Amino acid sequence: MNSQFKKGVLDLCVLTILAKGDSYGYDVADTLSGKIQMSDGTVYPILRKLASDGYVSTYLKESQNGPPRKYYHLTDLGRQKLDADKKEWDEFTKAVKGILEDEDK
Amino acid sequence: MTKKEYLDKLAKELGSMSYNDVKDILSDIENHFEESKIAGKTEEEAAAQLGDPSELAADYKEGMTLPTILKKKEQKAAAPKAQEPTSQTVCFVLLITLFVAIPAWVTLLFIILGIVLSELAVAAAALALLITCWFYGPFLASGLLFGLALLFFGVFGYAVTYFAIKYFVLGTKWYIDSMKKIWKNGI
Repeated sequence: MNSQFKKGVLDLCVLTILAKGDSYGYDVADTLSGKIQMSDGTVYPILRKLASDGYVSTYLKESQNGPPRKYYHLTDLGRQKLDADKKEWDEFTKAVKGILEDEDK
Repeated sequence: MTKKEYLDKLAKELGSMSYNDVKDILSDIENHFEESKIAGKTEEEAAAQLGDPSELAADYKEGMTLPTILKKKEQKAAAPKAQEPTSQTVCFVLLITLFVAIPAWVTLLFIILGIVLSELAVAAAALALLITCWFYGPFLASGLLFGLALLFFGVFGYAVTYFAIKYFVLGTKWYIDSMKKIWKNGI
């Protein structure tokens, strides 16, 4: 899939995953790459940027069989961004769909 | 690619970032390798799934460096600029300095000079009187007393001179600083 397509919406996907509950990098990468064809690495710069913008916060949590995991937690600001972006995405996809269906006729 | 090769390549590509950023990023990716290992993947598999390290580095740079630079630029732009002094400020500072501050400063300077000179004169007189008394016995008692009195007056005078000079210097500094402030920020 076109990588420019993906880039814009991956933020939204990451925020959505974190809205369901706190998670760590590998888990987010695994979840996403299981559904969308993408490199595992892609989520890390996204998580880092979301953290630096204040949309997610991080904390370390011991793991049973490996190094401590850095968990990401959606902040209130992140939730607001998710709601806004989701709304925008829905409107956008609806519009694109409408255009594509018009062309088909 | 092994974990070490991958991290080395990534570190090299991230080169322009700050040490702390690079350390943080490498630790995230290293942890990813650890988690992959636990999930039963080899280092080669994990590296392949992570994607090209230079692309990853580019993503990091795109996400971090550019907005950081922009933020810094915005902050710089938002910071209050040192404005050019307005004509009103210039007039105020110049008038006060020329017609009040400088005459006052010169007057005070002369007063202090006067005090210092008279101080020297008093000290010299006291000293002369004491010496004279020493040589001409008859005046001894009264002359010595007078000389000592003059000497004490001299010591008192020195204390006054010391504080006068001290506050004169402090006052001058204060005046220059406050004028600078007014020049920068307006009245």
